[in-house]
Amino acid sequence: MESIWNSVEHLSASGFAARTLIVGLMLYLASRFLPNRSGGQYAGFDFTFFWMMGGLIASPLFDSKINFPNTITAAVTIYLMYYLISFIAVKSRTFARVVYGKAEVLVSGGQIKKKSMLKSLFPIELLLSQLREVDVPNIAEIDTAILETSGRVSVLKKSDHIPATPDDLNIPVVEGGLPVILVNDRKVVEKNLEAIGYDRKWLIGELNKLGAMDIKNVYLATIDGAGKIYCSLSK
Amino acid sequence: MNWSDFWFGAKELPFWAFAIRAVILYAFLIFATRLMRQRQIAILAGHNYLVAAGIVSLAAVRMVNPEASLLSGIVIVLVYAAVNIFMSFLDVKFPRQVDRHSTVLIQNGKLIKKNLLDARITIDNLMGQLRIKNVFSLSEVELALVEPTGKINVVKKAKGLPLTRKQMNLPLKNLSVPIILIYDGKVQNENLNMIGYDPKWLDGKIKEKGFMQVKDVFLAVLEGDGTVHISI
Repeated sequence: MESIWNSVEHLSASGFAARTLIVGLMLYLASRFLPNRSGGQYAGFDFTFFWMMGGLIASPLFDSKINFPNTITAAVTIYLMYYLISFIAVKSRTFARVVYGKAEVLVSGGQIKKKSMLKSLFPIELLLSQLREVDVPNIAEIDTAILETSGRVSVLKKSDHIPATPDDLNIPVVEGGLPVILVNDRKVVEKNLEAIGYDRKWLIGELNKLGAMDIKNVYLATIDGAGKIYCSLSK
Repeated sequence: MNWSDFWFGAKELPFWAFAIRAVILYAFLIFATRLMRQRQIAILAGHNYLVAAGIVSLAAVRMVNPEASLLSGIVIVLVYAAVNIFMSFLDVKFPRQVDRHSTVLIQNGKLIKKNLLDARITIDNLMGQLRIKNVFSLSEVELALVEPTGKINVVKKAKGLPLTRKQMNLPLKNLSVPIILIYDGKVQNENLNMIGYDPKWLDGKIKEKGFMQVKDVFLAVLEGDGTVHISI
């Protein structure tokens, strides 16, 4: 047991197997505390954090001389530092610019800015490929393109090339909003039903209209902001 | 423990030394990614991801091994960053030589069998990627290509695209990227000057919306159509 936890010169195969189990547990714990920013938002220091954590936590498997106490010390330190950095970055815009970098305008008024391209080490081929990535294959349709700190390119099209919206054609629309779950796997979500000011009886009536005779047959039922009910039956 | 042990490694190091080592190495890694600029993040997130992850974890392993030198870990990271920057510099200067270019997989709605084979992409792969791009029928596709990063991009046939304002003969609309005027209660004078307004104008706009002071405003942006959007 001692040899599994601490540094030793040689470790048997079964010792490494035991270490693997511990590492697996640690990786699970580490993932529980992972920052939950959405994928596209990750900046350089997020990626280094992920890369480093993986290798760091698995390091007792690289060499029997690497022990768990040291690994845990280093991992906890990096976690604290990571949270400190993300915290300060939200508080101070200057600090955020240092760790995240700054979004760079690559195309402005339809013209490619050569200086910004060189500064960001961005070849034209890559720009065109990134534009295809956001479904704008023709650079002639673009007014502004910005290289975001996450490394992705965002695009504002010229007004001629954006799709017409209901607003343009004066078509009245109702905001759908996020649908609310009313029935989840045969169980009525009373809280949500109350929140929109209806009762069970009303719900049963509405579901009957949609062909669901019994709540026990309903797998999912939702209502959107416009009052439209969706219902999916369980077979 | 003395400093040379700390940098170059020793049989044993106190546990706090590992905490400091971690701080130093992480700081260098952040510095290195900043040197490589945004472009690297996007590309590394693609096909070079494993290399980057490997190099960084190698450095991390060296850090927690008391006998390995911290300095060598830092050197690994910096040299890797330097090679990367050099490669992307070459890529900007001589585009065709360094990066692979994109391969066309579908042209005029027809699959190009040879290119699919070259790029090692099965028809199922391709169809799956097209579905992710919201294309369920091959007849909607004008062009599909695989990028150097391994991503598949689609150009849809023009007749299947949403109607644009131009096609509807709608008048030109003034569109631009919104400009931040107030950020977390602070007026962005630089931006205000750029668009040729003074703080008085901004003050008026805020009062117009019923707010008394700049510091009550969390965010104020000038939108493309000339309206000011305010969040408190």
